[in-house]
Amino acid sequence: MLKLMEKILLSGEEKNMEFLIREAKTGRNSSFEALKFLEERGLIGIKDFGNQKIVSLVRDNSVLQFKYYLDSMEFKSLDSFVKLVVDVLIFSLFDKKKIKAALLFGSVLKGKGFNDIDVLLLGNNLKVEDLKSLDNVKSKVERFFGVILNFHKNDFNFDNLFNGVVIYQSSYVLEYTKTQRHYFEFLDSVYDAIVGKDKEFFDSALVNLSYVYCFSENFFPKTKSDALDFFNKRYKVKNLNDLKKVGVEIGKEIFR
Amino acid sequence: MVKKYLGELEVADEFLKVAKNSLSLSLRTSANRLYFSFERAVIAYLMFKGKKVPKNHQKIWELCAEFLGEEFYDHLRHLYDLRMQADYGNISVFVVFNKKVVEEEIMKSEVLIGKIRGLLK
Repeated sequence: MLKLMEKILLSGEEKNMEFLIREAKTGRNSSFEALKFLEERGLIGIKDFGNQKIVSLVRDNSVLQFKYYLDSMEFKSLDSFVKLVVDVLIFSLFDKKKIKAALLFGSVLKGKGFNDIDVLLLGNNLKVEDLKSLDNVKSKVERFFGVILNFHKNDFNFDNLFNGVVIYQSSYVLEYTKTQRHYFEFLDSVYDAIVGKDKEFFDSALVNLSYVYCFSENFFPKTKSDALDFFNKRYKVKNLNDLKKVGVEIGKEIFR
Repeated sequence: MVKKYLGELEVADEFLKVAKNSLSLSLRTSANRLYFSFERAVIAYLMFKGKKVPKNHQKIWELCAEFLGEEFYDHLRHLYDLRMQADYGNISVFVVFNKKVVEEEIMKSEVLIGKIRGLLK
């Protein structure tokens, strides 16, 4: 049933029932039963067209819940680096009340080899200035992770929610572990180190990352030097490039 | 033999001229050429410093920040958004894009390319 619903949702258009079952590669009898079940629940419509049966999606909020479910599965199957970048972005969306949803689209969904990440932000009457408020996170992502973020905006409506994989909704709960929260602090400090090109900022970022690593390993240091010692046993960080590399590696584990 | 980095700077100047000349004719062309004009000027400087020039825009920006500083980085980054808006603006809007904005960015580019030219000595 899930496979059939996924095919109907993703195609976005009416489908011949026979083609649909063939495409989904699901058993014939069980597919007819599943489609009947979905029709009875009001998730899809089935109409006769000559001697064929045509299946279409019902456009309502219950169907959207189904899409959100499929999107979350797709998001979780993405490359861990993309998930990390997206999680950092999502964290900064919580206080942007005008943004109702965010979607991923474009080359990033097609696997490796992407140069940029396209994000569609949906809201009612979103203005260019609303996107400006995301300049900070955009810059942080680009300077630290080395990947270009392109923000696009559009209205919050049914059609636009189908233009990509939904990665954020305004109803999301702001829930992060202590380790993840420290990772965000580390990002602030490493960004200062990148832009400020100052040894002090670098040292501070290194301490922050050490704490993140300690927490992720369930070690709770009493002092900064305890944290650094624990971190140095595993990693050798001599410069900003090393710090970026290790920071990404640790981040990918934390936001898996 | 003309030094390679000077050839890049020549291309930057040529693109800048095209950006200026297309202002009234096609704002999109103007913004597009403006980004590449400035990027080529940055590349000229990286070549002058003996750096291997990456193909990826973002990597060029990183080197730009490292060797020319934040002002040059910010300008290049902003021109990229402007170019994206010009090239893909039919799909969505993400930066303010009008003649006045492009004109201002042309002027700023001229100044910064001038600074780069001064450094190539």
